[in-house]
Amino acid sequence: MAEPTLMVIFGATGDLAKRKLLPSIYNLARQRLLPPGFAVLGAAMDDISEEEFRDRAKQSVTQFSRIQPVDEEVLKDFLGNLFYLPVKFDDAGAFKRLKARLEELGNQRHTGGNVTFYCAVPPPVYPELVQQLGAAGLAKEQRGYRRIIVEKPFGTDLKSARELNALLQKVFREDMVYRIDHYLGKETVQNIMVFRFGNSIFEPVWNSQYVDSVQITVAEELGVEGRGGYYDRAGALRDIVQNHALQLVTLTAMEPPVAFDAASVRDEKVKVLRAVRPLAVGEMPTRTVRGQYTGGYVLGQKVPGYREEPSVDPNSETETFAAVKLQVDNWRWADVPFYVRAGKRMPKQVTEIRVQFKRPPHLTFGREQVRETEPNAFILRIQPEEGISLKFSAKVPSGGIRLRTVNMDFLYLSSFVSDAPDAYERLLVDCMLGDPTLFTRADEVELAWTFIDAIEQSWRRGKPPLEEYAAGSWGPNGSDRLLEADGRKWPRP
Amino acid sequence: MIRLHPRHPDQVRTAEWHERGVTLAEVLGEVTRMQAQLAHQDLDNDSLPHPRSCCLNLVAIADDEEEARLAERVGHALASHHPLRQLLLELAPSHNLDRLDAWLHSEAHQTPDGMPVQFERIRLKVTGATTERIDSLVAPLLVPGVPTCLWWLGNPPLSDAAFLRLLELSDLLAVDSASFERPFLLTLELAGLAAAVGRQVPISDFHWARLQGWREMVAQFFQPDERRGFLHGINAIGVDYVGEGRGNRVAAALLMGWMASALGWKLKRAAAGAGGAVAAFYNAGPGRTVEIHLRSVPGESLAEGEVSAIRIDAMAGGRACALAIERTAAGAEQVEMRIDIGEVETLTQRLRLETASPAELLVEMLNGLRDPVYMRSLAAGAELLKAFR
Repeated sequence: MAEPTLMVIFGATGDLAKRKLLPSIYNLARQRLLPPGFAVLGAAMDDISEEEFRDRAKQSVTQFSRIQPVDEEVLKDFLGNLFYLPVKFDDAGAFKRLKARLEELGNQRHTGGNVTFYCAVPPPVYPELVQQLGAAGLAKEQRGYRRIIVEKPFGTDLKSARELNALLQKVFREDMVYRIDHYLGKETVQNIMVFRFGNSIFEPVWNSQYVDSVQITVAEELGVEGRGGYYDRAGALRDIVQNHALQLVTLTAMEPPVAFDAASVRDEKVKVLRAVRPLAVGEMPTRTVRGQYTGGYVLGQKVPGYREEPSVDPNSETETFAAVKLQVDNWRWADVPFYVRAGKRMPKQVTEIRVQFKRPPHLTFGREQVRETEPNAFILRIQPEEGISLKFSAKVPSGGIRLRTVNMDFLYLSSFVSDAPDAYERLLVDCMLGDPTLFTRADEVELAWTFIDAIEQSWRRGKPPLEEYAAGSWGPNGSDRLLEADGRKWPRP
Repeated sequence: MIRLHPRHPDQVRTAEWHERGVTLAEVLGEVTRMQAQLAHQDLDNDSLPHPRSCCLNLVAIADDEEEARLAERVGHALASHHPLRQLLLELAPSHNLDRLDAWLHSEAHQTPDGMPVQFERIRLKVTGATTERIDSLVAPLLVPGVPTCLWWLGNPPLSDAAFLRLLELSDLLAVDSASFERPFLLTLELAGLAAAVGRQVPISDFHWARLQGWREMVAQFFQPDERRGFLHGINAIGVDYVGEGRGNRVAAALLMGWMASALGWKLKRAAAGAGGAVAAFYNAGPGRTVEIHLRSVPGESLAEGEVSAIRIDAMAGGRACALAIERTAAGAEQVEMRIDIGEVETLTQRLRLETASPAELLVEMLNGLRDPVYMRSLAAGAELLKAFR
């Protein structure tokens, strides 16, 4: 159990708090995973009363809690531990009032001066917010700990990421900073490490001698969902590939860490990012693909094209689909391509890592039979059906030899009776426990941006050109060509 | 032929859900909830099967309630051999309202040998314009990583964009040319589709699968070494089929296409004969012609289009041979085989024509998945049908 603490949520009236943070904290309360004395102090620009904040929190828990029905007793206690303070982020006086309120609450609830700040505000607000925290002396650990959780995106390019890191490190020590990429809180993402390093049978074949390629898909069926203004400045490369997708690459490609602790795990992930070969300008048209969706059908519903979405520039050149072929230049992964694709308005929501193995060296059962079957593959499904599949060939029960590809499936949903915790629940607890293993370190963020920046710069010059794809398809034709050029094709997830 | 296992009724657990006017997102949520519900029931009884195993997506498209019921029965029977998720879509494009009604059925049961099996059926009634984009309903519901069989009952709209998009999601297309309303035209279209996409998406036809008994009897006749010579000395073939009109010749044409493509014959010309009979001539090699006759006959106990007899005449090594396989008057499932070779007395045998259920036929199709013999037979059969036009 973590030490008693107060959690300040900046942006407590915003969408992230409503959909994720408040329901997650309620669920932690329901599972008795919150320390005694724990309280949330909501801080946002809205000039609302504490009662109004609690009413809103009640609605968000009722609507978005993963555990239903809501337990009225737990909810009542939970709401009793919510407080609110209107804070304008450019008002130094507001931060002084915040400090006073934290001291007051800390004394009442015996939290020993422990405070966690959660930045659930738009990224442009981060610099001012961090400066105000520093100026008000709220980052000082005079009594108890101070931690700050920063939501992605961590900057918009390498320069801004470095600036943000520098600013954070001016006010907080690196070990006080928790950069959250909620993908890392998902059970299956953590299970990648358990699967690889908790078993002895997979690791011997997890290398270029046996692996043909790695294919990572991060697909959403949703469009920009009211975030058109933000998304139009970000795009799929920065919104998904820079963080979620590259995190999946690092976990798939990393060497076994000495221990499952923050330093060891993050050191190994950083080594992978260092080994990712930077793409040369001339390689961009053959190794990257960018696309933008036009109108189409998703889940049986007609949906508009990206440029027709609210708050999106009707002439926008922002990509809603990105695909990249990258190489990890180290001993283990020499010449094994990692194909990564991420996009919006795909046929369905799915995130998976497919490790495809080479075909057998000798075709004992004939070329035709082998062609009828797929190569062996491990598929690590992150969402929506978290689980792992192994694909291999088996004999069809009949006379003669006929081969068919079959699956061996493991599904969390049906293998473990208890529900997997939501990623935010897991990460909030880890932060309260002071365990940053599943959070991103500054050097990790900067290395990821180094790779992405080169692509971004080439794309801004129109290389490769933006391709259209119909909403409800698996992306532009160029995405298929990316793999077909290597004699491969994307799986149908 | 593979026989399907019956269920142990006392070891079947089910979960059901039904709602009208739903979104696909709600259906997806409910499917997940039902999976969890069945999984959590494991707590009560360890002996009951684990509910997650799936080796197939069976996407069945029905035009009406009757076809939908058939698809339900077949999916359910098939599940004991192929643990599967069945997506059953009943389409009503003429409705004004765009609407989705959903019926979910999930069950976990054990086969007699204790094999745990799960069967899920997601039945959607789709009305209005949404029927044009059924691919966007099907794609999110497919279990990933397992083959998808698209079974289009009735009349598949083979050139429609909606159909082709659905085909892109599939690993096998199954149709029944016997139930086509316009079998002549649709079979030709099917052959065109097979030529265009057959390498990517194999095609199977229940009508073809039901001809297996005939094909086996013919092939078995020529199997012994001493009869092999006759195979290359065939000079005439006659096939009788039930019903009138060019659409009822499909099965007969497929049988002829099978032989012609297997033996490398090239179609020379075709001609209409008297009394519903048509004739065609194949070039079977240097200076050799094979004459074939397809004849329409009455057959009260048989469905229109069914084959009722096949006769083959051949010469080899100076000896004549005649093979006749004819359905007996006693029943549609019995045939009489007569063999005349040289001067030897006629050999007469009565044999059963194996009758397989649609589910058993589908198992055969799924086990084979890619049937190059059918693809070749379809191409040659379509060429013959077209020549008779």
